[in-house]
Amino acid sequence: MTLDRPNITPGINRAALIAILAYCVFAIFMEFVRGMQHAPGGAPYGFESLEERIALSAPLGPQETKGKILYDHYCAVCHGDSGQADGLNASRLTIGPRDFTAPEFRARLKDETAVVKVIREGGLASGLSSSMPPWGLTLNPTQTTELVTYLKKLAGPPAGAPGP
Amino acid sequence: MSEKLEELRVSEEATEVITVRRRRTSGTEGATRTSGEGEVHVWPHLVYRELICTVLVVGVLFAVSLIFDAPLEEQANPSNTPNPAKAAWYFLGLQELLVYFDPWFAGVVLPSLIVAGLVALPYLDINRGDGPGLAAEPRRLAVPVFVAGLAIWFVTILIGQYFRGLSWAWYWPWENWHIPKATEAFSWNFPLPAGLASVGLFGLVGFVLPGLISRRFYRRLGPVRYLTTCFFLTVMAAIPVKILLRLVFGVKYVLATPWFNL
Amino acid sequence: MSLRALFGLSSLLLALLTLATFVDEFTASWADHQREYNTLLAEKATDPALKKELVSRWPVFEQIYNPELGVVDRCILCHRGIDNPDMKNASQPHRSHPGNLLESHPQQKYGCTICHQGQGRATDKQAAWGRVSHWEKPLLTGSFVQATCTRCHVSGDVPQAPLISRGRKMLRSLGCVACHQVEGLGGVDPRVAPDLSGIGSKVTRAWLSRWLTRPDSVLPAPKMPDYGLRSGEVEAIAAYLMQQRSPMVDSAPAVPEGDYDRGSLIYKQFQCIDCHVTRFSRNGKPVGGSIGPALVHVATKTNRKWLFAWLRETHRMQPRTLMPHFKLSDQQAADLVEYICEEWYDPDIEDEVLDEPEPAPGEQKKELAAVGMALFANYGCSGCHGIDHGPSPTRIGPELTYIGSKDLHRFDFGKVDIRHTRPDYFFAKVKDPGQFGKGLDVPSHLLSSRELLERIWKGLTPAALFSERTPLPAGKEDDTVTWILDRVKAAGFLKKATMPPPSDEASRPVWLRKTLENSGAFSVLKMPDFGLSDEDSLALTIALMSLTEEGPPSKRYIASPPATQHFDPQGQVGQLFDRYRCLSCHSVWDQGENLAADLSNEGSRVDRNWLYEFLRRPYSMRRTLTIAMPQFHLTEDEARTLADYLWFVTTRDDIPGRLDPPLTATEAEAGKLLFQAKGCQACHQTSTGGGDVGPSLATQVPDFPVGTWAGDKLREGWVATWLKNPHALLPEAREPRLDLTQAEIRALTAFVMSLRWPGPQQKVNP
Repeated sequence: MTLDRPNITPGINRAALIAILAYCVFAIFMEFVRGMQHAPGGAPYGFESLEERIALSAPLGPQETKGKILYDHYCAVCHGDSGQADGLNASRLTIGPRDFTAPEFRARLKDETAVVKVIREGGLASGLSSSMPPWGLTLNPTQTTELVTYLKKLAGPPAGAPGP
Repeated sequence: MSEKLEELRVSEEATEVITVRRRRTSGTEGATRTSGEGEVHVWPHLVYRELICTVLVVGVLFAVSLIFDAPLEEQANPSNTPNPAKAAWYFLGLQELLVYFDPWFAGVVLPSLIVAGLVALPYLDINRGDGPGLAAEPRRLAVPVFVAGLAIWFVTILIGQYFRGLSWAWYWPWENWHIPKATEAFSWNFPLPAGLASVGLFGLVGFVLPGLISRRFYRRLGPVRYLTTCFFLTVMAAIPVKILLRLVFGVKYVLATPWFNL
Repeated sequence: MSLRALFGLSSLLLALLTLATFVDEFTASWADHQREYNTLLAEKATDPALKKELVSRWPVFEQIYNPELGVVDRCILCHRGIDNPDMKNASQPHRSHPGNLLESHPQQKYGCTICHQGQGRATDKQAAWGRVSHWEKPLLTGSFVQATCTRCHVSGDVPQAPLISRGRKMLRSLGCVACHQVEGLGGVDPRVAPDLSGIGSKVTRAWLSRWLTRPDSVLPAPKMPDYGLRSGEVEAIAAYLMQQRSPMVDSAPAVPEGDYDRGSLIYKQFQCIDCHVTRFSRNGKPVGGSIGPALVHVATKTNRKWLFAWLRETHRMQPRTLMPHFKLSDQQAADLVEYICEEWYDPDIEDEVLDEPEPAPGEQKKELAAVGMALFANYGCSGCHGIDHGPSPTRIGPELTYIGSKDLHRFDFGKVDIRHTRPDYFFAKVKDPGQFGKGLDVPSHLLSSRELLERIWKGLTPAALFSERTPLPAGKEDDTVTWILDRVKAAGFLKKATMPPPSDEASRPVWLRKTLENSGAFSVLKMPDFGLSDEDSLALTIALMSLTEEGPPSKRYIASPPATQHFDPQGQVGQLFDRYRCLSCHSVWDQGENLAADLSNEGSRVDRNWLYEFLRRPYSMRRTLTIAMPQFHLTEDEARTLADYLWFVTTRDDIPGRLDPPLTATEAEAGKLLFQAKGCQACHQTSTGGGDVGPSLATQVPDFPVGTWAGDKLREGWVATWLKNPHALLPEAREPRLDLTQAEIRALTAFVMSLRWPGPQQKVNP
């Protein structure tokens, strides 16, 4: 059995085949052309990235912002608004509060767990002043982390690192 | 070779043989047909080919369904209808005709005429005594005319699918069809006398010209078949004419009357 | 090629494609994610058998189904580790849900899409996140999830969702609901804006014009948003407002001569600075409270007569004001007025104010004032500001009750280049509404002059005034231009000296449009600019997103707000609370403000005698505080009534008056040591010194008739309860909660209560 081609009007057959194929190719081409056209109002970003954009335009990151709120509420009264140990109450303490902008604090910040320990368990537990109360029952671990993030911001970049 | 003989024998035995007609020569009008000459059996010659086609079509469908998801859209919202509202692709030709004709014509008369024409076809295409087949060779005019009609159908589908954007306006491929077109295309009507004259002339040409060109055509069909054929031919020819008038010259109606428009 | 070969080939192709469909189905991304997750689990597993089993485990198809919530969620196909605490730091999609929300909202019960939206039934990422066309509710991430909280938390106050709570409050406090109806949120907070009846007798025209033009040029962070009024509009509204006279002020006799020094003393006694900004610090920050309007330039804003009347008859002039009624004599009021006028004026426009002629509502202003009234209604001013015989308060903005479900195509994005989503629209709209105000900005070459004229006519602000329905007169365009100009001029919008119209007739409509735009006769956009910060805009966006048609999925899921005790004192006490507006600063239970101490447990906290004396002679609680209670000069009767009431009513049953067994001196001794050891002295002063953060425990206020040391003032039971957990009594307390045993609490209490003023107790109050 062979595939014998009927020889009736082969010209018409070929023309019809070509026409049908051309039609299909053109239809597929148009499908792509129209598919690439988009409605106006396709700005590069949408609401999903809104939060990121807001965060980018803010001077502080989200963690630092939360940390700053906590710092201003609980800590600034002794440690000062900018962490320079110049809070309203600083002069009244027998042992002055920690200056977060001093180089030795930057060094201490390398060991984050130690700083967290002082915050959570108080100064006395780490052999520091009893004037630093324990905040472990007041702040939850997430808040402590946020606070430390903000402290890092106050302390500035570690010595040797290029400035911002 | 024995296989061939076997086939021949079987075909001779059959009281009525369904055959695929193969004509080796052309232009042998009036030649008597001898049974079995140039014929082959449906099985395996036709069925086998049909089977291959079936398998290929199913295969293509599989492939398409794998590659493309069904374009299902959201729940219909009566207060937010799509613009443009397009029919299913196979009806887009009809929808496209709405641009050129009034709904009563494009939506009622034309489809009815298509059906009527298809029904009438066997009665117009009379057997010429040179075999029962549907061979293309003796139908040098009929086949191209039918194909042209089919082509109108598919070209209008293509236009409707890919060239009609917002508010069914014409959009070239390089135009973004999501951007509304500010102005509506300019359109005009033939004045009534000119319209009447054009339609009358067109009808006259459609009914008279074929008979004038070929007397044999008229004689072979007889008056009833001739007139019926010419009617369908004229209506079909009118469609591309109107499409061109509209798209190129911006003619809205050739015949504009208070009762109906064409 | 033979037919058989072709048939064989095509059949093979079909077979391969059939196989491909199966492969496609079984290599779905969710199955890959599950294998990845199982590998992660296997890495952490210690049991070797389990490890082996995990590695070879087949992916499973699962979904969360809760017909009551309408939830069919297949999110867990990929997010396998959503409730696995070990996956806290894993990469997505394996990471566990942040926070502890799943404890109260287990995902097996609630599913995911009830909060996060998206397409729960989908099994691949893009579709599941709803980032496909036609899916109206794409996945909500980050803070945007809060928008769905209020479906069940119908009160709108969700502790773990601060932005939605804030946004919902802002809808009321900014006055949004004055123009936009939001069902369930109620009307506008009456404190948003003052009543303007009689405003013409109060303010100077120069100040009013400046205020209307740009509120933030008069005050920092004004409550009134910037409507971007044009000069024509300002003039008209000012004309209307200056016509609002108060007979009480106008007919009052002249203000008596006052004395600056005495006024200054009264100012200090009344602690005006608690509520009003009275000056700017050196770095330009306002100093003072925000409850009342800023007074920095009040002498330029108001006239003496009104100030005098206000100080004398505060509550008669504005029954809803937050300001207490100070009992001032005529002379005292005049002294204070003198002090105010000397201190708080704006040098920039003071000359203008002094030159201002005596207000005389002349005939020529009547028409302008009528336009002003129309504008006042048109901008929806009457939504926030009451005004006698003024336009009735109507909501001029579209209703927002279901704005979160409004069809996207019905939002007018105009030419603002943002993504076409609801949240993007909300954010852009509240942050900078001005960018949407391009309604008339039609390319003029597309319009015939006639059409443009019609648009101009329709877009004119006070059209209501000169009968909006009037169609443009038929005739030549040039005549129509003149016709419109005449009407606008008659309404007071155009000064006579306008630019001459161009001779070219065709460009006249465009010229007209520009001229009218400059005159302020257009009201393309009414929504004012609130100057919101990004974060406020975000909160508001989320609040708007939450206003959807979808109610709670089922009644069983409605979260009832925590029960609150309503505080609404009646009778004599109620009158006193009203006259002195105690709740403008203090809070009791769920009522009042948080400027001053919360009085909900005051009766359990302090000694009655001390309370009585304090009401008579209030003093500043600690050195670091800038605010103190004003000296109200309460009579003995009033003070007694209030003290008794607070002492008996604002108590808590679980705080005992005295501890049982009674505290001993030994405990007090132990407490003294403990006080040092725990670092209490860092914040509290005792007789041996100490910090200034907390209240002093051992300071006697001079001339106070009873002791003001801790032991004199506080009650044992309260001190013990406080030491146990300060935040249970006062969530915002600065004092850390210490890890104290019962014995330590008793010892510290005993020590604090032993701190009593050694001086003579002068008297015991009636």
